Amino acid sequence: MDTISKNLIQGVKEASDKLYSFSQNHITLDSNRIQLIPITEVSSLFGEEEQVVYGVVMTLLEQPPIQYVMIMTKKSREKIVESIYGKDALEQDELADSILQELGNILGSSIANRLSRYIKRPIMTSTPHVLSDLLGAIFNSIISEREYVDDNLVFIDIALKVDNIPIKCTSFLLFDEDITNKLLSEVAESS
Amino acid sequence: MSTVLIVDDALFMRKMIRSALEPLGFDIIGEAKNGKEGIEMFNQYRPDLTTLDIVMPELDGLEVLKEIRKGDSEAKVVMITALDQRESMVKAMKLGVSDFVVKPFDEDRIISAAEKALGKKLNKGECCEKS
Repeated sequence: MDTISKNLIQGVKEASDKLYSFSQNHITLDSNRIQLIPITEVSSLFGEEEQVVYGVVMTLLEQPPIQYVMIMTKKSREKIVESIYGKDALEQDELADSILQELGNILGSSIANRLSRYIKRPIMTSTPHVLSDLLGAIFNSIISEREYVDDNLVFIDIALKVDNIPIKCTSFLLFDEDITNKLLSEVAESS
Repeated sequence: MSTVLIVDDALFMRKMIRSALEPLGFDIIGEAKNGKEGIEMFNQYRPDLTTLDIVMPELDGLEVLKEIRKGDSEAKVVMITALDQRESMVKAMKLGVSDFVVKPFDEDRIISAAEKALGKKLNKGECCEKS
């Protein structure tokens, strides 16, 4: 977990500068905490169990499987999209989703870039994709697709603000902790 | 007027690149949403400049770059990607990319990459001669 945490913290720091630039100084990002939490606690942590939320999902590594997930409320999505492209973008789903895709891409790629430097090997991420569903359903589909065996995931509590107003958006990393840490350390040592 | 092909799976990025280059007089002759489409459109239009994302569906940007340069060793390609990894940059440079821009970028960075690729200084409102 230490290895992953250190890389995540650095990745988020690098992403914050990029995000500020990407949003033309509208969006700021900080990481409050990084901790391992049981998957079962995700819904209560984020709240909004009965509401449809938006998720941006990106595979950082295929083997071992590591996935980055960013979750936000509908209202947060609107604030983000409007701040980057104006109100008109909200009328165009493809454009609005594309903006969220890039937001997830910046954060997910920053983490991937850090991990790549650690293991001294290139990491080719997947294309980020946007989902809209109940929070539990989003995680169920990711977990069942990847056959994760770990009951925990990494909660990256990001404090995202649009024009200094906090918005409800957070992110997670899904991976099997034991396998991932072992493999990453082995690769880093042999590189 | 120089022609540009934009290859990126994200609509937002295609719009950003277009808005940076069109005021300079570039003719955006096509936008491809994935790697396969990118190769088809390159072969169809033979643009003066291609901007190319790396992570895309169908075929990734490095494979597209390889195919483009195989068919046209003089092709001018600028890679635009969020993957800021040395190995990708080195691979792209070896394949003959003209410049490598890391997302997110500001307009000046795209413009300087286009200038470097085409070997010309560009000013807003001016058309550049077809090379």
